[in-house]
Amino acid sequence: MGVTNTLYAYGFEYQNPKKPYDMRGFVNSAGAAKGLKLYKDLYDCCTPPGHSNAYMTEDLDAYKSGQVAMQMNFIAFFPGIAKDPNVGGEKTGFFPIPAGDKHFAQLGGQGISVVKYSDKKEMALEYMKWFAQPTVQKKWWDGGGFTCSQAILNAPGFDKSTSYAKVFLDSMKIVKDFWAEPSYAQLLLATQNRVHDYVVAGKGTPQQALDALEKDWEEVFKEDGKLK
Amino acid sequence: MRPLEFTRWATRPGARSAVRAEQGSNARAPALFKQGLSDRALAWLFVGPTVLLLLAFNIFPLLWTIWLSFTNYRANRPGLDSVWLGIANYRRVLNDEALWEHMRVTAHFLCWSITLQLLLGFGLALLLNRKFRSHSFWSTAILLPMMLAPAVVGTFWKYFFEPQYGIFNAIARFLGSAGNFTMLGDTQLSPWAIVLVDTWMWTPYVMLLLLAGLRSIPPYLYEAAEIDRASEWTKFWRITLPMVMPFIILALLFRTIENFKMFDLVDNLTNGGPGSVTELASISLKREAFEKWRTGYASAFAIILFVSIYGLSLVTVRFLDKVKQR
Repeated sequence: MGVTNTLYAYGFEYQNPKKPYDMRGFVNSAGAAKGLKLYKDLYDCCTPPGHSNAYMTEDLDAYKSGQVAMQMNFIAFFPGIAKDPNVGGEKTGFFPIPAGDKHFAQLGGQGISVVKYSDKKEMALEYMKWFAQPTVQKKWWDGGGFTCSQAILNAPGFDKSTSYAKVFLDSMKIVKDFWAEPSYAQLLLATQNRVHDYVVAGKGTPQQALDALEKDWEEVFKEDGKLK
Repeated sequence: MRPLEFTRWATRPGARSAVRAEQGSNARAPALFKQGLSDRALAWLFVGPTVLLLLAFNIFPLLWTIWLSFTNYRANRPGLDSVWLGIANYRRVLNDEALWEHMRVTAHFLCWSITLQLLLGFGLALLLNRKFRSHSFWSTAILLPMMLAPAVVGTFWKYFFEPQYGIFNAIARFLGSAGNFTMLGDTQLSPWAIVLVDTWMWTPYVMLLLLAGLRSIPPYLYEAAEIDRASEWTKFWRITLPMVMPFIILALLFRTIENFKMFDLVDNLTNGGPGSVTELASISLKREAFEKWRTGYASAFAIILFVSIYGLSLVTVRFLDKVKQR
């Protein structure tokens, strides 16, 4: 999902704000192509050898072992980095995704869902009520979890409570999410295929990659009956 | 076991009369057991379970896949009604540019890996067909790679090729290479990396087949050639190669079928990457079926692959028949 950060920064939009699922010219805008080109330049210059298919944990290993001086990763890993004996404490600084023409950061993590046909639906809802309590959320944050509780986020001194607390606050103001659709997996796979083919395999141009991605997404939404 | 229980299955009349004599009250027993089983019934009894299993796990899934290939069914949405699409899925598969690219990748993998395996396997078989010291040790050592699980081989070679601490680059540096090879991350090298690993793993299998072929050549043919003062090349060209040819074609057939549906080894090594330069047809099929959940489309793709493999096998078997008739 790192690539979406550079796409957002130069004008990538998922759809026409006035017409849902109308993606042509939004997904594959000239700005989005510029953002994708920037991502490829970063990949070509600054990725450790053999990281063409690296996952989040491989990125962490590359950073902790000193192969790279800087990495882009989900904020959920920051508590672990801050506590790491080799790179933690004063040795690592954190900052939000820098701005391009626009300023957005990719939203990560997963929401809690309750399956409507579950036998234990009541129990799950009870758990959510318990988890949302301010005292529990405070403990959750202190233990290295992340919270959306306004009471905690707006409490005095929160931004200095950890080395990454301010980054979290600043990033949450600019987050943008990927498609929240039942066909999430297909949409994400299409993104990975098109981005990988351009960035890693060097096939075609950024514009061609995004044009193809837009067509792939159209196909998915047509199959879902959301586009004609 | 009591004699009755044992002889119940007997089909010989003598055996049946012996049972009757022993068991006077056997008149109430079922007629089937009284008369014994016919040869035909006995044959069905043995073959039946296998036929049932074949029907359940091979024929029924095949027929069901054929039916699904004409629909828009999605396995991850079982509640939705599937719509009959006719041959639309087949048309989409055959017009899909990405699919033809995966077929090209598969053809590259197939051609090079099988060519190398046949050449190296034949060379090794010729070497092992001679008597020399530690012959048994080398025969066993060469067979080791094919005894390993493909997932293990994939994982092992992944670390072997690792560009920063892998042994492959250490060897390359020792031999004078200035830079590191990113065998699994480079778009030019990775198609060759999967060929190399498959060749390492399956050359012993080809060697084993061809060694059996070499050992089946009657020695008197070579003795006759010696009398005729034939050169080594003539003996190879006129005797060895023609006699081993059926085994070469068999090896070609087995390896073609296996490599056409190659999945585990390459999935472990590259997962189809970088980009999609090592995405074989089988990996693409798995993605369509179990990641994108386009079950109908994937079924059409699977049927096309099945027909392709079947067609290739048919051609090879016909060629084998012709070679055997010569």
